[in-house]
Amino acid sequence: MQRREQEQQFRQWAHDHAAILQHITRGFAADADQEDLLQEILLAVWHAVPSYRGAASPSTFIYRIAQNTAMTWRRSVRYHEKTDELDAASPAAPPPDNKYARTRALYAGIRELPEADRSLLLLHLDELSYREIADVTGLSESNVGARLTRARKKLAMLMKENGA
Amino acid sequence: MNTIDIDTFIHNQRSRDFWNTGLLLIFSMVFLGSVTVAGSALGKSPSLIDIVLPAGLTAMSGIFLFRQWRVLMTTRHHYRDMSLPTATALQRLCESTTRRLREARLLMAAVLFGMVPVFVLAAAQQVANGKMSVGDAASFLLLVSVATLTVLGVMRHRIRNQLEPQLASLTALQEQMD
Repeated sequence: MQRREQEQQFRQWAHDHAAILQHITRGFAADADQEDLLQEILLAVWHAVPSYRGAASPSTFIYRIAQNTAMTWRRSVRYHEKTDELDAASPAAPPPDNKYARTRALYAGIRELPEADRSLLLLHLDELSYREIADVTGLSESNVGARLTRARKKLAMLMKENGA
Repeated sequence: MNTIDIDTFIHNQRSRDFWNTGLLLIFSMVFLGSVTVAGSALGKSPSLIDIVLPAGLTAMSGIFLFRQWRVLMTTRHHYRDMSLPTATALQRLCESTTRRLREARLLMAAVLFGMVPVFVLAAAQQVANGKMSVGDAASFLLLVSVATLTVLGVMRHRIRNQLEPQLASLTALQEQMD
């Protein structure tokens, strides 16, 4: 793939699928870390553009890259060090008081879930079918269904505990 | 994409690729140059300084060359894997981390049990043949010890603080997915 084509394709995807990238970013990172993660995902998409052969739809391709990058980013030592420092240094977050409070509480709850459940719920919230979720994650459709049921219950419990 | 400017992002990628490739070329030239110098120094009747300087330069440029090559190659490989389904990507990542961990341990063993005895024997032989004084041999071995300890320290740090925790968290994640 020519350099110019790579740039064009990248621009197109970044524009068309910006919502996917933002959604995954919010599900895996909080506050200032979101921009770091978004950079990482964009970098991964940039490097993956030449390897796109059209076997999956662009959105499935981007979901996979975004999910895999977000999971890798979460595991990085730097992330843990940074969040540990922030947790130790910053006071508890103020109670949410605007119209986005419920959405923020939802994403905060999702971020508390185990990574596998978090991925499934983020895809489910984007209204992907079980088939599409299976394509992104590599799990079977029936497995996706069973896991989603459990993940939804866990999320509901977490949100109740957090008073959201 | 309200937080990141795509034009700036693309510009940064272009210049990053340019510098990575440029650095690879520079290190290749330094490496080849220093190998030539080291080779010609060995052809003469070399003093310690004739050997140590070019050999050190060769080793250093070789390490940087290898590192730069890894930056280019592993980055490409790493990001190519990102487009696989999560479960498959995770399995590949687990396998490659296990392989890297094994390679790092092997390298440590090779440095410790392979390189060190070779250097000690070489120095002893040079002293026995009267080509090197005992003082020179001692300084040479001191240099080798410092280099060996540095390499071993770096490898140990990488194994303990990066590869082992990474493999543990990958395995935990794989268990979640199973």
